[in-house]
Amino acid sequence: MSSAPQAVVTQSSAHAGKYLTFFLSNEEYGLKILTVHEIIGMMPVTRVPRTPEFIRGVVNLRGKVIPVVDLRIRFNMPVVETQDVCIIVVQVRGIQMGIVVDRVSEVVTVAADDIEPPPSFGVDVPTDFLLGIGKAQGRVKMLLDIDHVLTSSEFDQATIATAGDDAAGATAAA
Amino acid sequence: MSQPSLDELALLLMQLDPADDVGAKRFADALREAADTSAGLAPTSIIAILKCTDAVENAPPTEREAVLVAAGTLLETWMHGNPLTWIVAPAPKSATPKASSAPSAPVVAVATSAALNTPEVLPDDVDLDLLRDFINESREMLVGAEASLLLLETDPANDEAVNTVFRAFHTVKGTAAFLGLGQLSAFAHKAESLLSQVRDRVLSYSAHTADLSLQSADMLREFLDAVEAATDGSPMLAPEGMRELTRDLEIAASGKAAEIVVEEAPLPTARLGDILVERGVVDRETLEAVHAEEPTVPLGQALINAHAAPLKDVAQALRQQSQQQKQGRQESAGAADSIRVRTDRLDKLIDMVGELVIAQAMIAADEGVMQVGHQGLSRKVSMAGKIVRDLQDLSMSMRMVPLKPVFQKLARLVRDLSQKSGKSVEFQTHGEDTELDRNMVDAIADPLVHMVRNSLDHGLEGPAEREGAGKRPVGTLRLSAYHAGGAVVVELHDDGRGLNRDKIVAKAVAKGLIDGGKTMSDQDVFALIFAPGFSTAEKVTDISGRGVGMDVVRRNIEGIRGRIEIASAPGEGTTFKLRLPLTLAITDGMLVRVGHERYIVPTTSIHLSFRPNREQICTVAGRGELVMLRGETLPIVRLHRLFNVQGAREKFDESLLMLVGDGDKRVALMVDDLLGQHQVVAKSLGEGIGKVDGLSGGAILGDGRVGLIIDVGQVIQLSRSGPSADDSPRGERRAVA
Repeated sequence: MSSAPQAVVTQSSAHAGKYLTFFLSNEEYGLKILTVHEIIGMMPVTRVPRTPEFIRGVVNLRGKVIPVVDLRIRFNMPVVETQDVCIIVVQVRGIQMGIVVDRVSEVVTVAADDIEPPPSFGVDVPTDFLLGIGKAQGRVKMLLDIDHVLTSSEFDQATIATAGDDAAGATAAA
Repeated sequence: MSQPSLDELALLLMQLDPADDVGAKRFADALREAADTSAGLAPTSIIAILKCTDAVENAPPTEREAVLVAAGTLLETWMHGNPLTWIVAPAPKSATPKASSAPSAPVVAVATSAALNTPEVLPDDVDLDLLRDFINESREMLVGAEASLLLLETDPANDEAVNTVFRAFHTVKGTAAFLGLGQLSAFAHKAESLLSQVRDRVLSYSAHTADLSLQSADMLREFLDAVEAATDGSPMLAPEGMRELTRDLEIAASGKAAEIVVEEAPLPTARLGDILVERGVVDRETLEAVHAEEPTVPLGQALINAHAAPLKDVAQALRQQSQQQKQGRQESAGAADSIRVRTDRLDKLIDMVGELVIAQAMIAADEGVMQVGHQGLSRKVSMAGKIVRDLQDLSMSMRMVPLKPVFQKLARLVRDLSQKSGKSVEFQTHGEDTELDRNMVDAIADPLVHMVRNSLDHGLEGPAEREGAGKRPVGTLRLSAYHAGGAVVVELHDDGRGLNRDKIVAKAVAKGLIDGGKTMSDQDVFALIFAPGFSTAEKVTDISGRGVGMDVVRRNIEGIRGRIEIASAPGEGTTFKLRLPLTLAITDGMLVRVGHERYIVPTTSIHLSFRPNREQICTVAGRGELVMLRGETLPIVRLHRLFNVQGAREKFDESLLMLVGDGDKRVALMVDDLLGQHQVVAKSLGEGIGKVDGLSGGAILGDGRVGLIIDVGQVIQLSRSGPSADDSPRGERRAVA
């Protein structure tokens, strides 16, 4: 599962470009600007039962129902609702999804030389959802591989597991 | 005095491009007007002019040149004040001059036989979009043609019907030729020739002609399929049996035609005689006699020659006739006055209008608008609201199409099946103009075919058996559609033998579907015929009885949130009722509250809702809860447990139970409150989430939030298959971490 990022990092120049940065707690993350569709204010989210917890629910994006992922839950961070909380709507492989972040910061250009491969902290802290660590304006920004964050095998498993949950539940009950 | 207008006409004629249909029509209209307004024209001249206008309008572009030349001659004669005659190549009224007489159509015939032997490849430069449009349009036209052919079954003298079929074949021919589809064009030409002779009274519309024409329609359809299949560049093979059918058509067209086709122009399409008889100018006997005396002379002229009718009346009748034709053409033009729009665009439009409605409602409910002192504003807002609602109605209606094409297709099916099975059947349709969502119409077409087949095969008896039972030998199959209680009901009734309860029970027991069936209600027994693999027909026939079908029917109907009901009485027949929602896009739902969440339960699946007494509730093993309702015990499903909702009411006397589900799968769904009935536009929850168990989708509620639509069937399944879902997300979470 974690061998893929290494291959990706070798071509860090491919990751150079404009990033939209946002905060989760006091960490700054970057999203490739091309994946960002729009930024909307927080709105009432309808919780969807029987889905993984990090799926906060669904919202009405001008008539379209899109799922919203809470990145704090996704990254196992404590859930704190800040004042500037907002939803970044991204488009991943044609699928629109919202991600809840604490605060949107700015758009920065990260040069290829300023991108370093993601560090390794061992199994406890997964870093395979990072494209790399970018440096701009003297600050460190974690460049997210949003594709990986939202549609990684874990995510797929989550949905599948929920679907197959009955079977598991039934055996457990038996 | 008509000199200047004749000059104008001549000018029009000179500028007219043979390929210009609109121009030709304009010219014909002008010519007709000139004939109407100019006095002192001999009746033969009037007839000649009318023939001329007709020919100009009806000639296909390729053959119009000759007609226009003849029209020029006519105009010239007119200007000189001489009696007018209409002379152009023989049979100018037929859109395919000479083609009907086989010997004089060598070009097409040769092309046909040559083309028949080699598989054709689509021309390289063919525009695929154009081709697809052609295929679609042609198919639609063939459906219309079939309907008319069926009309001809009962009314062989219906000229309008012949014309419709003719036009359909003709258009297919013309467009096919334009697209370079030689074989198709050649075949359509043959089919058209036969009909043109019917139209021109050279042939009578016999059963043979009917069969040939229906076969031609089928063949053309197969051809279109072949063309469609060949769009990827593979060689296009002519459908099987085409050569035989072509030969039959040729024989039928040439057999009698040889001696009857004369140089004389054929009779006008809408029959002159009929108009005259209708007006009381002549009686039918005289008419027939006159026509028999001079069969080669046009009827109008013959009548005048024989002094059977006054000239004035004949001329009037001719005018009326051409007027009628004109109207007919206008009507058909009106029907075709439409634009093709891609469905996804339409869906998007409907979606956006739905949003507009909600956005408008939000503005209307805004504090700023509601405040006193803003009366002008609130008036404007409510006016905008009215427009928005109209807009919504309109956009919803855009997806609606009448059931007519489906009914017509079935009429054809009944005809074929009754011939094959030797049962005579009268097929009645009612309410074919009832409109349904396009998707629904498509979705019920196949189930209806199954049902009609079944009714014909199992329901209706043969003539002998019917007479034995004291019934009319001709069976009746009635298909009707109507609105009832916010839904559309499509009903198929046969007056056959009815469903045999004992037989069904015996069969079901034999198949192991049920144990005894003694206690089952008729409804439940009849519902067994929808079980997979069930068939009571003693023998498997070509028509049905293979045991597939009815289960597919039910699945399809339920797939579009419809219901199927059966009513049957032994010896009196069976009625199948399909109860369908008006549109797939809108779900009629009950908004319910469970804790802090709101859900939409489709109204169709709710039987009733009630507040239970404590006495009605009992538990099994401390956990399984049951409610007694009218002697029935139903398991209770606590929705908040299943969906892990916080803050829901736990006590029975504070909450409500909704009886949902069907048959033995009924449960009482426990919710906090009913918030009211809503019509919502069902949407998917987004690909990012995919399918969620227990939910069929989401919908935007009046306040702009998303409400989740409950899939009752799945909820029942979930409630049976295990404990509540509350550990699943957390369990998942661990896996993620």
